Amino acid sequence: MKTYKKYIAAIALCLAFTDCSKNYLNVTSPSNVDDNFVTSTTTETFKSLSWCYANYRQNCIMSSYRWNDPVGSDAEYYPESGSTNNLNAQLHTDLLPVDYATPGFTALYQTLALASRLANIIATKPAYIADAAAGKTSDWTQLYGEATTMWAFCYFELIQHFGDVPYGYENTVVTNYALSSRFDIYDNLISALQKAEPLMYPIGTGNIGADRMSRSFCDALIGELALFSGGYQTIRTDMPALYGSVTFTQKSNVANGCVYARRTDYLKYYAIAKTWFLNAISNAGTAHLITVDTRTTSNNPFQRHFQYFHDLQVSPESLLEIGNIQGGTLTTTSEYPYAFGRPSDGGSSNAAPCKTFDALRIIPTVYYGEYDKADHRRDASATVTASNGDGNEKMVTFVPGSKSAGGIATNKWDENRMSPPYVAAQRNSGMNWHILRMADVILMLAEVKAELGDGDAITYLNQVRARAFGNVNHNLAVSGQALKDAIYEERKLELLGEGQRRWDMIRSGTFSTRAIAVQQDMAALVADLKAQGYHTFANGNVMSNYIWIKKVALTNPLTYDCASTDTLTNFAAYPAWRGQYNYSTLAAVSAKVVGTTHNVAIQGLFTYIDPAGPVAASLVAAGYTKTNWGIDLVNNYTVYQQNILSGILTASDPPRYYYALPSVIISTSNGKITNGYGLPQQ
Amino acid sequence: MNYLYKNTGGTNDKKSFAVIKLILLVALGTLFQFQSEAAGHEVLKPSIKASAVSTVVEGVVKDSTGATLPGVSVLLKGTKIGTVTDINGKYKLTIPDGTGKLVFSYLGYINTEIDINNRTKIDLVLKEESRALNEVVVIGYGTVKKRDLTGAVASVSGKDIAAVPVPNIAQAMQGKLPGVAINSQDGRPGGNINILIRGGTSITSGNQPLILIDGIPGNLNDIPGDQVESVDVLKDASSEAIYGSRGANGVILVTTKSGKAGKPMVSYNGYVKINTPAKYLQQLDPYDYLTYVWANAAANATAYQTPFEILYGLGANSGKNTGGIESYRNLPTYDMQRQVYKQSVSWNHALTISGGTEQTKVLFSATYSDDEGMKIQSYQRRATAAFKLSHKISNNITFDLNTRYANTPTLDDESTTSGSGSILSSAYRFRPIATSDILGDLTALTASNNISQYGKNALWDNYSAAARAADYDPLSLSSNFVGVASLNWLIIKGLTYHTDFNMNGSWSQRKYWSGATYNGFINDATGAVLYAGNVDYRKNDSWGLRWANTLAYEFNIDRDSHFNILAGTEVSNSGGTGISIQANHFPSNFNEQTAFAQINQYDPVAGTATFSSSVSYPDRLESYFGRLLYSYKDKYLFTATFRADASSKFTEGNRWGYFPAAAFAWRVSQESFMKNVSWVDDFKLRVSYGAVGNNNIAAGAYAQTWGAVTDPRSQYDINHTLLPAYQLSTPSTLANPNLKWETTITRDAGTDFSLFHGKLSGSVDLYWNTTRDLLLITTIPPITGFNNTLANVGQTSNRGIEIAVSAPIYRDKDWKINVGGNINFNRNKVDQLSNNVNPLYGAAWAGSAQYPASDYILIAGQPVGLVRGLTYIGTYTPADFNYNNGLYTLKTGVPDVSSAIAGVMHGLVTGTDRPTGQNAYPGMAKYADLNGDGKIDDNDLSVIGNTTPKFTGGFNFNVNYKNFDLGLNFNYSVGNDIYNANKLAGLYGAKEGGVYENKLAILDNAYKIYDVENGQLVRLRTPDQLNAANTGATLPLAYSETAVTSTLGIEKGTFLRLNTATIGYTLPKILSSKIGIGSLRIYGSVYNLLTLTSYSGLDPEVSVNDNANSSTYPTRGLDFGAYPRARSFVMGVNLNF
Repeated sequence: MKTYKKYIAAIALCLAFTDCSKNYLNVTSPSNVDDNFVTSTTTETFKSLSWCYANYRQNCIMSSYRWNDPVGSDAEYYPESGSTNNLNAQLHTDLLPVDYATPGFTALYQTLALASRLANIIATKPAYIADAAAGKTSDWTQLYGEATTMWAFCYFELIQHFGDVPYGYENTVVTNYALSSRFDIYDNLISALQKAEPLMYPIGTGNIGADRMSRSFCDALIGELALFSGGYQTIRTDMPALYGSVTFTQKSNVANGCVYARRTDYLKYYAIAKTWFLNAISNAGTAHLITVDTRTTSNNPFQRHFQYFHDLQVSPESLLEIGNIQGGTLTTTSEYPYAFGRPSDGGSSNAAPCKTFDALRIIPTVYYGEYDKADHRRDASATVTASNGDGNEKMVTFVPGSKSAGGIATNKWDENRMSPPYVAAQRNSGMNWHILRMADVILMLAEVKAELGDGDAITYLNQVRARAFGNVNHNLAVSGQALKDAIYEERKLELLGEGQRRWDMIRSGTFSTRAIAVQQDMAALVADLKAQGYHTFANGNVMSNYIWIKKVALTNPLTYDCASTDTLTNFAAYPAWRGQYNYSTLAAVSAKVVGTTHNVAIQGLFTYIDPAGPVAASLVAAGYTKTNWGIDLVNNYTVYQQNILSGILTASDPPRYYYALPSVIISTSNGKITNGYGLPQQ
Repeated sequence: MNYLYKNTGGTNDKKSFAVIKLILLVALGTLFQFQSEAAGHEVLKPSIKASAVSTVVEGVVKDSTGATLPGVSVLLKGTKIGTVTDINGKYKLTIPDGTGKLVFSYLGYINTEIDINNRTKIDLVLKEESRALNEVVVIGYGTVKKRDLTGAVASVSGKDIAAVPVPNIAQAMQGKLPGVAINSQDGRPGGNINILIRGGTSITSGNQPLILIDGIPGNLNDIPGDQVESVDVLKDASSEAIYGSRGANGVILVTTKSGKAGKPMVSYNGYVKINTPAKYLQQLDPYDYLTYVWANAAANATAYQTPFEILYGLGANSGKNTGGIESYRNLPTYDMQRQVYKQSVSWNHALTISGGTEQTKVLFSATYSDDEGMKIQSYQRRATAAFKLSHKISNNITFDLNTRYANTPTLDDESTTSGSGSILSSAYRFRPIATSDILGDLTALTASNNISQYGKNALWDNYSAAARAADYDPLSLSSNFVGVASLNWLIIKGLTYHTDFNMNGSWSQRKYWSGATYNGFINDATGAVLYAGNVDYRKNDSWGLRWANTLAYEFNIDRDSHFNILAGTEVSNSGGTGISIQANHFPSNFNEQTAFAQINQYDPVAGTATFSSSVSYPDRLESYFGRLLYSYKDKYLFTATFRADASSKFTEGNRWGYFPAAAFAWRVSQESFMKNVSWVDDFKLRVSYGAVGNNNIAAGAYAQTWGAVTDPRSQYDINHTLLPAYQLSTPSTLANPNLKWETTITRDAGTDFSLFHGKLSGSVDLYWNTTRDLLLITTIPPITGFNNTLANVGQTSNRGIEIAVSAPIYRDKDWKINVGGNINFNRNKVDQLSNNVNPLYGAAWAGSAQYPASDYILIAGQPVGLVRGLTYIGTYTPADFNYNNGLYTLKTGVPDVSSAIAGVMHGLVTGTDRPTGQNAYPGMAKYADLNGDGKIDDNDLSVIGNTTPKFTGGFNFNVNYKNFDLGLNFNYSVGNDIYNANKLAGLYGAKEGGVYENKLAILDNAYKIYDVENGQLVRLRTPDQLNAANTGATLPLAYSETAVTSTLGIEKGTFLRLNTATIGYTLPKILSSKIGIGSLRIYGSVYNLLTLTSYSGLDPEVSVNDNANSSTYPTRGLDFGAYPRARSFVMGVNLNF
């Protein structure tokens, strides 16, 4: 009996210690919270959207395609020799490995998937449902619209860079998928945004600034979606069923399974675009075209927009800016000003200023030949001098390379113009950059109006010109095709280096013709430089093989607009908007500053000086040094030939500017998806 | 008085008599003898005074070799009359009445009883005990004698482990356990140890075995070798399945020492170890460095070349160095490596006190080791304390307490960066010329030029590898406490209830400090410190609870059938919290101590601070298990186990995993037909089959949850202010609610044998393990917003043979020689890959500069760890081109390399040196055009290396001569390739910072397009010039910015290492007792004495980190950023009181 009890006791013990409750194995962690938690209030919901913006900034825009957008046009090029960084910009996309753009592709879908997940969650919130039903704009309806705009914006970027893509598979396990027609996707995006847009805040209301997606931006985005849907683009001919009932007008040969074309009903889309660009202007809130410059140092409202970035403020001209922070512990948050800013040979940290690579150079025929001398935009957009990293200005050279090598540089971002410059480390200056600004919207409106035959198209064009010249004396009075051409030219000069020119060339149906044209312009320039040592442009500017430079000291080594007399008397101030910040005043790097003559006086930049002549001799006597200029371009011409749209050989071929779809999209599609445009499959 | 001392039975007498008896028996056995008198009294008498009325028996005891055995105890059975054999094996014993049995016993030999039967002379050959078979082997929730084992279990004794003086006992196990591949990371203090049992089963969900220390999951690094009683490794399902979910990769059971009844034992073990770097990388000497870098600088740009010339006084800028480059010809090499890592000294002390009565036994052990790293600023210091108590509460209830605490501060973190590896492994890249030997103008270092911009790490003393390493304090502090309280209740004869409750806690801190030099917070012109440095401070606490209850019943049905049944339950739970703060740019008056103490005082203008906290996902397990052991006539052994586990890592429907296993063993030697086969002592055949599981995935992987963003790059900034953000907890992995257990089926057939009277014993095992439903990261198309999902797909298998033998090959009275060894053939194979698995993955050792980005591949039917790259076939030579005035145009039929492979090539001008559109140029690497399409591109990539060895193993020699002992332990690996990324990293030309760096000496054989003629650097252009300068060139021009993975980086990894060599001397007992100690052994040992290999890198044991740069799948065999291994010289002492 005793033994029996013991048995029972033992078994009872074993069982007693076993927790059979199912709840024991249902576990959660307060560090891993659910959808409800992160959308419990509007503030919490924006924290989730915050990740989408950051992911766009860190992993979408700069990861691959953004590098090429601004350098693949007839105004801009990439400065290095033999690099694969710009094969897309050259229109040699077929030479890129299939997965070259996979990081950007993936990050865009990742961003749009999270945005759509959030939009879906918000749509079920009682507070949102009530506001939406009442037609009341609230923080909830703004967030819904913002998430939807983010989602549409990412799809737009996907179509621009990859053409037709799979649509609508976010947040699910997918085993069966196919490509969607870009035209269908555009239609879907437009209708989704039209639904969300009325209940969003315009810029300046509801605490929404231009560094968030507002009603103002959403309106403009709808306009852009319609415009890009209606404009010329390279479409696939190897998938006959892809575009359904949409018909096309062809602009090129069919080659590599693709053709350059636009939909025959394009005017319908231009009309939509017009409506929404007008809405963008009327719903702009506090955003506007900056036409007044109240600075004491200068009067250049065009440059004022960019100065806001340097001052770490949001520009009132922006409809959307990408927000940044200075001195981030981790790199790449300020990649844009590093990649596309005024060059610096400085070191990676504690330099005056730090290194700026500048992957974006201005084709000399544009710099010399296309800007009017009275146009305030040229010097604020492009520069012939760089920083040496020790407080001194230096000439750029046409020797291929980066930093001070590589040719005429962009000037819209320049760490010298910060107050004070961020000198602790490269890529950390924290400057914002814009996705869309008002001048761009105004010129797109002009573009669609010109196409639609609206009489007031010219007034929108002249609005931008008047700002650029500071008066109405340079307003144009043209119409018909000349007006359309003038609008595209204006966009080229206004938006130089901002990544728009390539899309204008594509949309206008003139990509290949313009590519051939700029190649011919360059050939003529190089031929003249070779033959006579200089080339004269139609506007009277002359580019020569040599210039004469001298180090001089200015009281304030940073220069702004110059008085018109300066062009003759102060060679250190012309061209304008260059020089250096006075780094002697910055304790961290003052000891790095070398010498006292920080500025470069340049002679012979726009006029010809005969190296063997008396002017040259007197310049040398005055302390000037004869310096290579166009001659480096002549000696390295093959590199320029390669870098400037070398993938376009004839005006009748379809431009192939798309990246390949990632190999995984092809390999897991059960044979439904292949890469078009002659791009690699694996 | 005819006796020397009398034991009257009093307490004091009993004890002291026992001690004296022991000493005298051992030391002076022939001179004295003991006799029992009436009433339990014992006397000690000189033997010459032995009573003459009794029979005297004498004889010689020998072993099977014929050598005489001294010290054998000879006892008249049932009495206390006894003696020991003398130095010649002779004994003489007086037997009161001439009858009875003599019992001969000697450690390591079978006790033998002989009937005296009035004989006066009894000689005897003592049979050696086949020790191995009687050893007790720890299996799950119990022990079993090795002879009764049915599964594949490998064991190593604590003694063998303690004999190898290393900080981590896993290193001492290396080469000693068949089927267990132990790879130690490298020479860093506290380096990781990678243990693969039978090749590992999973691909991504962990291959490391379950390590149980006294039944509790733990870390081998927390257990000092001195505390180990034994280590047993379970290798097949029949033994592992009792651990169910956690046993798939094998189980390592470490049993620690316990107190024993008897007089208190005090032992001390200590050693001092001198570590010397086994190897330094060979770098270019001063003259070759100047030639190389001068040319490299020229190839990059004049802006690089000129300051370099001014600095060293070369060429056109020779300045006052009139001799130019020739002045450096015989200069000794200034080797930065020798400043970064050098000889170091380590100490280890271990003290154990144990003792007790039959009722209560205790053991206390404390150790302290100070393992100084060879790298400056590195160490691991470990203090441990253990307390074990076993107390008999009543006749049938025993209470046990087992507690351990370890505190381990480690200063070391050799993080690698793309292209160069760690600070240590790239130290050779510093200029090989001391500052005092520079003959040019030293102001070129600091002037505003490309040296001060880019060359600081390579040329400035203030930023040398040694200076940067000295300015970096990556301190990790970890403390672990483990406590187990258990109760053993013998309910009735044979029925035992056992419960144990285990609690563990660990507290870790990471206090990383990097100073002004390391971060570049120095004004180089003035030397002023701008900011003191940066702080990374993290604290993590974790806890675990576990409660196991078992009921075991051991009984016989009849004389032949023996049963042992066990049933049990187990629950476990764990959790933890963490806090993390990073703050940077501390004001210049701060230092490490003040910054950690006042972390909010960073400079908020120049710097930033981030902080975050976390609570870990609970990991819970609920289990039921049972085991049946049945033996029939000691011949037929049968084991069946079953375990059911429910894991909180899966959703409700998928929680339970069921893991059955069975095994059968046949002790053939027990059969009657084997009776006459005298050369077989023991022979056992066994087979097993069973299933084990794996749930080694992150907790909560089935639910898509959100978490706070901690990386400022994933937070948005509005108005230039950082915003808090949420992100998905796994932003690129789509949660899969259907996850279930990964299951491994193991099949094993083996034999254990002991032959020729113990002359040869060992085991042979054949196994075939298949793992299905692999918990594998599978690719999903990114159009979902995710890159992958975890799913149960695919299958891997491991097939192999393990052979282990040991043999006492020679033995006489002075000599004892034992040899043992093992060899393991394992064939790892990925059986199936799901379509969704993207088989390409990369180690990304050169970051985005690498070609191909995916340098590893998984292939169905092949092992894991295949390297993918191009096949190097030499360099392009002028003969491949048509030459015209500087321009080299490829001849038709000679394939060009794609631009992705060629990369940006410094020193070449397209259009002048090579035509537009062509990449090739003389000197550039030429790869095999495998698909024959006339160009070299992605289509010519193939598998170029297999990092899986054909076989591995180890062997050892143990020699005892009188009081000397010698042990040699070897381990080896044969037939594997090593992916020498460190070498490849030296074959590409990083721009800017890379331009001024020194290179490995192999670059001496690289193709040249520059040469030094009459002290001037000359660009070689014509075919004649190039051919003349490159007659012996075997390596390509290293000027490309792209790092290419090719056969140039694949080397044979076969090696044989003399891992440890130990020689010891034990003081004769007679001497040690004189000075009042129990035993004393002193020894000297050399670790990593000798390595035979053709591998050119630092060491052929590479890549303990299976996931370089967080690769999707294992990056086996990769050598990058390694810390050199030490050759250590140890002097130690083992002391017992």
